[in-house]
Amino acid sequence: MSVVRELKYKIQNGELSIVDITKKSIKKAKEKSDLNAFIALTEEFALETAEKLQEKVKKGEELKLFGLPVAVKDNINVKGFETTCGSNILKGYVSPYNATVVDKLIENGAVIIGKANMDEFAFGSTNETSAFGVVRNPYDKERVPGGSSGGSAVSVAADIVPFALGSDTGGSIRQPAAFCGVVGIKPTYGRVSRFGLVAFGSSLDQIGPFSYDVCGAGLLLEAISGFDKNDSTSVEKPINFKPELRDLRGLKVGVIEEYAEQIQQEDIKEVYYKVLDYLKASGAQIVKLDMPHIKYSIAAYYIVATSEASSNLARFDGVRYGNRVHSDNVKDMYLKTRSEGFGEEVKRRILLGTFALSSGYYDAYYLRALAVRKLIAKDFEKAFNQVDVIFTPATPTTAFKLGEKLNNPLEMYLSDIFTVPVNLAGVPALTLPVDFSKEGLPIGMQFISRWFDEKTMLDIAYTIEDYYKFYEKAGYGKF
Amino acid sequence: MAIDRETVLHIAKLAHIEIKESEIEKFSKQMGDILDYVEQLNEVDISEVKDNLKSIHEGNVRLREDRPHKSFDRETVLKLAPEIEDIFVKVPPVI
Repeated sequence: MSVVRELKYKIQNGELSIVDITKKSIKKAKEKSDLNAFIALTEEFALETAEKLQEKVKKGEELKLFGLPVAVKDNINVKGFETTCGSNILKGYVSPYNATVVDKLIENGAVIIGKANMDEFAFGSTNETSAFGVVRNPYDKERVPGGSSGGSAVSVAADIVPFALGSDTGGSIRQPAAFCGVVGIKPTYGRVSRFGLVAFGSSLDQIGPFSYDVCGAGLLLEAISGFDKNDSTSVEKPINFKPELRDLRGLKVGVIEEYAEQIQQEDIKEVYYKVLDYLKASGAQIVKLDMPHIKYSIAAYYIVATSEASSNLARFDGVRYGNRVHSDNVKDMYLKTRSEGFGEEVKRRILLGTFALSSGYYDAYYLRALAVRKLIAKDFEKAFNQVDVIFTPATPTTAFKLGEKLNNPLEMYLSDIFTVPVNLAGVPALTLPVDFSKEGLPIGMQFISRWFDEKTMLDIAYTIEDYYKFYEKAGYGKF
Repeated sequence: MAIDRETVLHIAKLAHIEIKESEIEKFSKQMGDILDYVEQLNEVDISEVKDNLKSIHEGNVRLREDRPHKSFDRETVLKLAPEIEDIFVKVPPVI
């Protein structure tokens, strides 16, 4: 049975109380502080919420998220707490409002226990660029958890919380989910409100859930989805993310042949083909897809994403909020505030984006990248005329060693090869942990669905999960 | 594309970011490497794409009604600012 549902039953039959779980969760977070998964714990607020929810349950009220604890990535605003984005430039910024997803967490009966560490402004694939220090992978503390939602992934993988929220601009939920052995979902663009999420690449960003298993991730996604008048790109669509076992006979599963060649580790290849064989043996039909533009994804992405980022991060100037470095004239104040406040990777991306948008280069870089993005989205459209779901590995390797990619940004960018196309097209995708590598590190696979068809990938992942039962091997849900 | 020292400094100026002398070489090499990689976009035939600036997303962007509504009060907003005077956000001299 789903680990999250098991916890629900334990609360229902009185074996565990919401307050107990909250206290245990905070205790675990403190005991495992060497992982550095949290920038701040919201202990008092959490206990207060837990007690309130306990009362509600006593009165017979049903809570969609059962009163379970959740970690929130620190680029999502929680009223009354600092939002740092893992950066020094936001030092002292206490959010005066809740992000829409946070309101929804509270409405649906979740207990927010802390703000999760992340790569600075979500720029990175290793969680090493945080101004609050590196986050460590619970399976091997000398390795990275992935990024940028590294703290969120670790908070679930280390069994501190059953739920976490992250954000995914190019793989920032799915890659750390794969490195840490948890389920992570990037919803369709527009599915979840971005109001209260600090913007990185506005046309790419989506908030999404992490959980122990598919059921938990579906449940959390259901709780945070929906149209929001404060986000004009959010849409009104039916929401049903309760996964169901599915008969795989006749299911059309698309594969991208070039991708198999890009897998850099034999043990990941083995898991990839093992799952494919399982799908085939269960009666699914494997369809080789022709997606000629997908190989340009990383190139297009790093122009589009850095252009949007350079523009979004122009607001951090030391005038209205955050940290200010004083000077005797305003221009110099901007310069000093930004130069001292931003870390190296942030500066690099701002510079790249500023370059791509600058006079003389705008057509050659930015407009061209947008055109290629359109062609990539077309490739997905054509693919989904032929298949129900696309199956790929989530990452070309398992978790890197700390420091391994830090001095070679291009190499780090290339590690997002399987996740980035999904954001460019706006489709939803899910990482499912399947097995461990020879070194004992989690290996994750990715399922990609049609626009607004999260249900299909959830059902298929749930069916595969039911066979491999990674969450049992990981031993999640010990409260 | 090679990014020379002058380009790095020019871009940094546009972005209001100060690059230390010791970092110029590193940034120019790293940016050059990334832009070399991006060059592959030039192979793609984009002649069919007419509407690159149009969003790829479906969303039916709804403009909200043009009606005033409650926002944060002044005190809340001023509390966020690094420096204030009376009811104003204070900045160093502009000229």
